[in-house]
Amino acid sequence: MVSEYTLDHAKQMDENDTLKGFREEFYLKQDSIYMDGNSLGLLSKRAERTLLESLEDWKEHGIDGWTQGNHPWFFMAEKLGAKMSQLVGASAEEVIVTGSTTVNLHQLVATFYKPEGMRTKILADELTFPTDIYALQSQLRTHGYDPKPISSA
Amino acid sequence: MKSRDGRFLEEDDIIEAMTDDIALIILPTVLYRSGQILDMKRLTAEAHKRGIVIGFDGCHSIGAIPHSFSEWDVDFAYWCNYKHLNGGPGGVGGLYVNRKHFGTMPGLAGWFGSKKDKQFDMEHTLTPAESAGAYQIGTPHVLSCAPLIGSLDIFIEAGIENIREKSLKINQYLMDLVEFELKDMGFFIGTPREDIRRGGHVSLEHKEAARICKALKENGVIPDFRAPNIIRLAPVALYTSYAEVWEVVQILKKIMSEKQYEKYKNEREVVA
Repeated sequence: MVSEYTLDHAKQMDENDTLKGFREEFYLKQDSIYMDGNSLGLLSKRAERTLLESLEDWKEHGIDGWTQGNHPWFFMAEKLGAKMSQLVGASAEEVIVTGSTTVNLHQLVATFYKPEGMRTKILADELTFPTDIYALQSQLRTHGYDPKPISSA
Repeated sequence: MKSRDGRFLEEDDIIEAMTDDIALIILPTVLYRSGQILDMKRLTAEAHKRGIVIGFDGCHSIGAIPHSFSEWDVDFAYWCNYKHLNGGPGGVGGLYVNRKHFGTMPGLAGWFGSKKDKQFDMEHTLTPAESAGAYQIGTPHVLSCAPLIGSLDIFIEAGIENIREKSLKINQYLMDLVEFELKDMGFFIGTPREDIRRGGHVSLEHKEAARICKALKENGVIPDFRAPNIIRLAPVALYTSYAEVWEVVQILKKIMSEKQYEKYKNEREVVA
């Protein structure tokens, strides 16, 4: 419906948006529209605050920051994993915040890829992000295989 | 395994490729170009029927859509936290390991995979944690984890179901606007149209994509470009307004009708 595509209609939808309050928590630029949050999300005030608090913990506690302060470092990965678990539909102990995409893939393939007899291949898709393919190829090489490029697989 | 059209994957094709020489399957939850969501529940069930372990790359879905990894019985998953989760550049990633695998020795072991109360015993035999924590390797990058503490609170407070609901609506709005305002301008929406099959971004294909992106930046819009011909636009539930989406499409329309993109070369920057 043509009348729907007006700026007024867009503003009306913003008015009715139940999440609209969160927008103020982010550092948005005045003269710019950020459409790249799927590549690098923006900084929120809360994220900034917990980063600064963690620096403060280092400043105040030195080595004791591992177990003391606002966000004790020794348990941080587990606590974050527990919080994140509801975003992936898992229990708290099943999620941990660690590594990077590529390092975690290496870890998980090194742990769960167990070639046996005829069952030796890893199935991936040709549209996947290149780092996944690089990691899988190098894991196959450490097992003594000669992986074919995915386009010819 | 191949795509039929270079955009999407068919679950049927993936299942057909699950032959008895496959030991492990690694697939994305959401494809980084087209934004297609794979049917993880079905793929996991089919893999397990054939005795195959299956893991997912969740980079483009974490924080954008709800998941049910445990219920679907996914074996493992991994992701970064700097996209939809706003954890900051180079921020620390995440991984999920199904509890049925707890006790499996980490392939890449390190002292932070220790059971917490054993770590400082300083023994030369690793006692792994009885949790996903066992798959940590070295000392955590504390300062690169810290922004996530605050950021995750926002997601918990907002609720991932509510985030998904707005994300679907605002991405749909973007696609509707593109179809209405930019028809006959050479754009193709390379994102699945059904809600159940699309993630948190819209992929616009155009043969002049690289230089249209440059013109967008010149006009104050930050998109991203994926070679060879994709403009990705992500209206984000937590911080993008419908008015901004409206404005982005108006700007695109102006760029196209005035041929502003012709000022630039149709090549990507070093970081696209």
